[in-house]
Amino acid sequence: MTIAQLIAILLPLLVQYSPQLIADIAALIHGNPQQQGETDAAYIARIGAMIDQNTTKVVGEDAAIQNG
Amino acid sequence: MKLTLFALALAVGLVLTCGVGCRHNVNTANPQVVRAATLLDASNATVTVEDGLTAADKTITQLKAAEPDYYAHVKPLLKRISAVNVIAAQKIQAAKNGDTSADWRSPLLAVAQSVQPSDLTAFGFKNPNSQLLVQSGFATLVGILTQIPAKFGGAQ
Repeated sequence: MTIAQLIAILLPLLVQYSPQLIADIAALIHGNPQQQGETDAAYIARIGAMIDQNTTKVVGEDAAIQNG
Repeated sequence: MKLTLFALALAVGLVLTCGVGCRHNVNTANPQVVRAATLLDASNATVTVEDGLTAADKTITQLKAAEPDYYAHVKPLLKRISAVNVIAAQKIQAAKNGDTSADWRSPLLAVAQSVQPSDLTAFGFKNPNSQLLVQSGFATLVGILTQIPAKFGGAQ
């Protein structure tokens, strides 16, 4: 299959499902929005875990900069 | 065909313009969910600051021998930004953990105000190439320091 054929298949799908697809693409690249069907509590818990990881990363990299 | 091109252009535009610290989409008006998403945006900003600091630190380490005066000038600034950034990250963490009195926004804004971005990259370099290396190595840091007030300076 050529790239042109692939695009020809994907573009109509993009149009048909564009709002959700665009949101999903943006989510994959840039963030973690609340998913369809994800409860508020589950989303808050997931976000909380990400913040925990972020804080650990920031503190660890700060130590490297302070001691470097 | 026009609709296809429009959808493609819209998709590319959304993906490209939604950069670091992009507001997260939520399915609800539940204030706790909105708050969690806002805190994650703020937390992501502190990560971007630290990533920028790490890149900047590597750059000045490479230049240390050729530009010792610049290294001596800018290294304390990076340490200062990083220290304030940790405070912001910890305040965000406290807010996430339920401390409703935790003011995370002020520390985050303090990160952006901890230095003048021009102080990081403007210097009388000995080697003309150093300026280019510094501008490249500090791009992420300068960019996020500039974006923070615009993203988090408003009302909560």
